[in-house]
Amino acid sequence: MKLGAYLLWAAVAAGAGLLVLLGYFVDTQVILGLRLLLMQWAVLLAAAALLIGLINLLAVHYRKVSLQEPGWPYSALLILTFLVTLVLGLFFGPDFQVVLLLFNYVQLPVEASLMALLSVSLLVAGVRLVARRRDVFSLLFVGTALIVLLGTAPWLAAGDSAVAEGFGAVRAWVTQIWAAGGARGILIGVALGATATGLRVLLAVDRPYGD
Amino acid sequence: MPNASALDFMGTVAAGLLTVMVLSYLVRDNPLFRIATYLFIGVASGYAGAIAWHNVIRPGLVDPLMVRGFEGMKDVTLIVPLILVVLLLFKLSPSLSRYGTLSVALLVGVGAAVVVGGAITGTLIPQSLAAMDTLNPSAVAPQTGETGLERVLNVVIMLVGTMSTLIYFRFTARREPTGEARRSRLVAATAAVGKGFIAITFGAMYAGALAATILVLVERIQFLREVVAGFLAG
Repeated sequence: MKLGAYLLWAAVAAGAGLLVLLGYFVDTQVILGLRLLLMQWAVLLAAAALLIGLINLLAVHYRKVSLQEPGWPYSALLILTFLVTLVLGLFFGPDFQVVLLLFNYVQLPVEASLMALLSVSLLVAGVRLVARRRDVFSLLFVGTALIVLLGTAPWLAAGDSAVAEGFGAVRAWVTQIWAAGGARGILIGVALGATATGLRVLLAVDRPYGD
Repeated sequence: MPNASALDFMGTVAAGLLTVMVLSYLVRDNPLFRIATYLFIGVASGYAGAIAWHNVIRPGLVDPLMVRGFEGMKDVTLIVPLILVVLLLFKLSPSLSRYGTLSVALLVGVGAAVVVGGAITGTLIPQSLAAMDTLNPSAVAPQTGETGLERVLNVVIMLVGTMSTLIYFRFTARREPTGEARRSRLVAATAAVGKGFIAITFGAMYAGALAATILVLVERIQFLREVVAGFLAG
């Protein structure tokens, strides 16, 4: 029974996946139609999976509140704001004025402030790297970062001097030649890795959906 | 019901307070920062749920079924996703979760195919073609605009960077009689060059990320200054 179920799941994943993959390379109406249909079903399933994830988030924090675990008032706040936004969004739509107010005056400022915090974290991480690990690669990393920053940022004084222009030219050379070569290698490496992982799933060597 | 300008004013004050609460993390982790982040997670997840319902599930599944009624139940293109979504809901219960595996298998299969197709057509082919295009001696560099010997030098640097970076990520090695895995000297030397190129690339990316986030920090501080100025001006 278990073997039969495992074969069925593997066949569904491989069949659906190979049909969609075929649609990338074969320009036939039947294949393209099937690919579109399967993609639509997958998008619906992904949205349903998102809702299931949200229900799970709610359940986890509800458990924290009901057992009064450490930090439960924060979980209560999360549940309250989650339910208010979700109910308003479901009944009146995401374009409803109050939902937009929540988005513009809660979500956007917190998102932007968290990103602003990231600048300090990045700076601290860079300084720590120099302090703790002084090898050629750290020097290359920090040297490149300094050149790019000096070549990009506006100078407080002597912004039109030959030194400033020189930094701009070196920055262009480093980013568009040296860094671009490395970035292309990383991109191709990531794409090869993604292709290998995807093919392992399509050939049922890896079965993340379970047996 | 307060009017729009009053709502905007209250919203701006709330946004300013939330900004201060988040930036207070610079001093240390504190309850104000946690309140702001939990509030953010609650609003963001609720908004994401509303978007998923109104933009995907309702127009793709619920509305067609409601409009067509029983006729819709005979349409395979509607009934199959409905069954798959219902089966996926079984994943909420640990004892019934195995019934949702069919839906997850379909989702994973299509997702893997999209990843493979996207990687081949969106990255592998265009990046390989771009790398080959740099070998054309008569072409002018699209970004830097140089020609001649300067271009040849730059092309060599780029190709060495790409190849050595790829070799750095190649982890196959020959096993010595002692059991130790060892790369050949040539591969090890090329991988070291690749590591240097990766350090340069990450340095450039780090600088870009730092510049972008500093810009956001400046924008936030400017916003706070405007909120305080507006508050003082009444």
